[in-house]
Amino acid sequence: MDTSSDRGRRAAPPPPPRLRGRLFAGSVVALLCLAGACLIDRTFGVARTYGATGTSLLTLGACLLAMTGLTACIGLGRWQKIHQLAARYRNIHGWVGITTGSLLAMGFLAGTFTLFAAPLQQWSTPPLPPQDARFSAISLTEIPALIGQLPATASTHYRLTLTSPSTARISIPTEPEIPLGVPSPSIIISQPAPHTLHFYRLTPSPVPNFIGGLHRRLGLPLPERWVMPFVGTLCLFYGLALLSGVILLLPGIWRSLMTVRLQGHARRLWLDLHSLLGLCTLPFQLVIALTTALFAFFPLLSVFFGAPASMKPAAGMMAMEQYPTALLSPAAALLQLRNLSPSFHPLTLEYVSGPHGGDNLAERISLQAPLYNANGSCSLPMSEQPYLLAVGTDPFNALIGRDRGSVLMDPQTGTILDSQNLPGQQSPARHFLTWCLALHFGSFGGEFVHWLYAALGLCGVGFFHTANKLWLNTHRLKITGQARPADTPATLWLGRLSEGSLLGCLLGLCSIIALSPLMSHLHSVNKDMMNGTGMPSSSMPAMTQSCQQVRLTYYGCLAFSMVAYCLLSRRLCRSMMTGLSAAALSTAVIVVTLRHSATQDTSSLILTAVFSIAALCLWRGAFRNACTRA
Amino acid sequence: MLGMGTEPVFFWGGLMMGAIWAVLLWLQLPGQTPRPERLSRQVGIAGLFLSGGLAWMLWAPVFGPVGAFFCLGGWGMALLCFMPVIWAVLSSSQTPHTS
Repeated sequence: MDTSSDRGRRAAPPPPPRLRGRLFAGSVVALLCLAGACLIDRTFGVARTYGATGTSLLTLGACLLAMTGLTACIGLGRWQKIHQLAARYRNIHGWVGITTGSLLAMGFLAGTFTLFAAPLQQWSTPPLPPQDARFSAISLTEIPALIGQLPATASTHYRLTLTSPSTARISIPTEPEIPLGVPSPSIIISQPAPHTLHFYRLTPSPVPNFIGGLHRRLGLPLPERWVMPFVGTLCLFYGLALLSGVILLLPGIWRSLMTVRLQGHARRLWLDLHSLLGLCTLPFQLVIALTTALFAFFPLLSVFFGAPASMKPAAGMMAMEQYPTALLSPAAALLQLRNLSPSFHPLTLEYVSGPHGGDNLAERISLQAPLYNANGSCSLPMSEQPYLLAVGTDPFNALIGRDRGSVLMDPQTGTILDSQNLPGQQSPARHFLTWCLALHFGSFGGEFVHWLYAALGLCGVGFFHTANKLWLNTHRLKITGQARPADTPATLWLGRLSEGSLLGCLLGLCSIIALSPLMSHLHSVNKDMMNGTGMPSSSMPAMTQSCQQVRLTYYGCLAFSMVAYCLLSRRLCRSMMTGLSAAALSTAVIVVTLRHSATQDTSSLILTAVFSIAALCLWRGAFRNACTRA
Repeated sequence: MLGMGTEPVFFWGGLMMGAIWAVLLWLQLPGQTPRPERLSRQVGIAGLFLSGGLAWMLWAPVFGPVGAFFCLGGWGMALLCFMPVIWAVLSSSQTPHTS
């Protein structure tokens, strides 16, 4: 149909052999940087001396060096003018963008939802019956007496969720909590009258945890331990694309940086938007690339690091043959915390006075969660050690976790066992590491920063989408006599798959959000608890089954979208996917509103409003696409 | 909301000063940005430093000094992403071309 003589290729030429050599050299340099971190640790004993904090900072430095080394190697050689240097980066920037853009866009979209994991869980949870809801918040002074009324198996491990400065809700975890694992059910207690207790089993929704996993795996349906080396490598190339993008901007595009040309050729619009989003969010994107590389490489490198520093037993921290009966009252524990760190706002107090599951670095590495609950080499003390874990937030300091910090105390005396994750009470090295992680999670500045990060995350999705659009527009063939450029097989299929995967991810996320309220259950277990049979039997197999259903729904939606994009027209698919996403979100809002949990607290109310607005926007997009088609 | 509830005046003041800082920064950047005739470059740059400093000072009691710095950076980044797009839509009489 068309020959090479009658078409003008506007696409960039294929990578020259020199570029492959430079890329190889860059990869070797990056590998050497990471190997160097292991060597430094072995030589100077960083892990032995400074524990997980030292090795994390060492890995972070190695990732930064690897990223800059990889970028520098591509530009190796003589150049006289800046555009000659930029020319060396043009090809690699485009190829890295098109190969990683869709995965990163899915990762950013899931990451935006992950920011609201805790409110989403609360939003999905059905409220207690009205006759018990009023009595679930119990005065702190009454709690010790109430705990005495519980069956012996329940009184050794309980959690107090503070609802006001003087009241708390009591819950009993039925399974040990695994960081980033399947959420465990708990028993909630209410006291409608003195000496009368009502028990409810709360089964949480697995959806927020699943979205978190999706974010960490960039949407790939593989176990995390397999995906992590790939994610780390991808992040180094993502850093290369960011830095090379800045070099590409230097020669001339800088002059029209803040220009968005809506008229004219589509390619120019995508270029304007891509440059604008890329340069304006560059610090955010660099932080995300670097910290994700740290999360991905830390478990791999820690295998080669020396033995980590063992958790030194603090005063009073020792294995106890007899577990304490008299525990520090919640009011006294809160007073002690206030004296220790006035800006720390405790959210939960977890009392563990019996044998419990401990953890260690190896276990958390296998869960890909070495830093999320990092407390040196162990996040919890040895299994014989009773403890009181206070978890909370701090508006003035960064938090090491996704949205909270913690402190470990002795439940009898209130002696501090471990305070390295207590905001504002950390060593300078730990404080620096906390800020690095907080800049990834947005765990500083409270809810304002969460919403700011949501906006920046959506800008990131737009950044990768415009990168894909730009690449596709650049690589289409311009045929003489035809107004619109023609697709090559590569641009046709890459265009369909990139848009199909992004909208499929959106549809999948909206669908599992619609499922979320249906997967959270609350039912009375008074008989089990009062008959002396103790804690109800484990429901973890049911939780695992729920997780499988969520996984199946998400990947089913993703596959449906990609197949539809391969078979049907793009406009029809766009309209269909946005319409289905809108329908899923609308269903979720209706279900939650009917269950009266849409307005049970401020965060649920805000989430309902946001989902309603998002559903309206999606409906508008779907109808607009449908009308354009008609 | 965390931070906002304790010091609402400082929070909203900082938010407004941060927005002014971002607008002044946008006006100084190259490309298709509005060029007010009465605002000279020197005054613009002076206003940029002044509004940035004020925003940081107002937010420091709410988020802490380091937190205020990063909040201001994030707020500026978000506004700089949206303002040129909104400006392009407002200043254009035709519908966007998005093939």
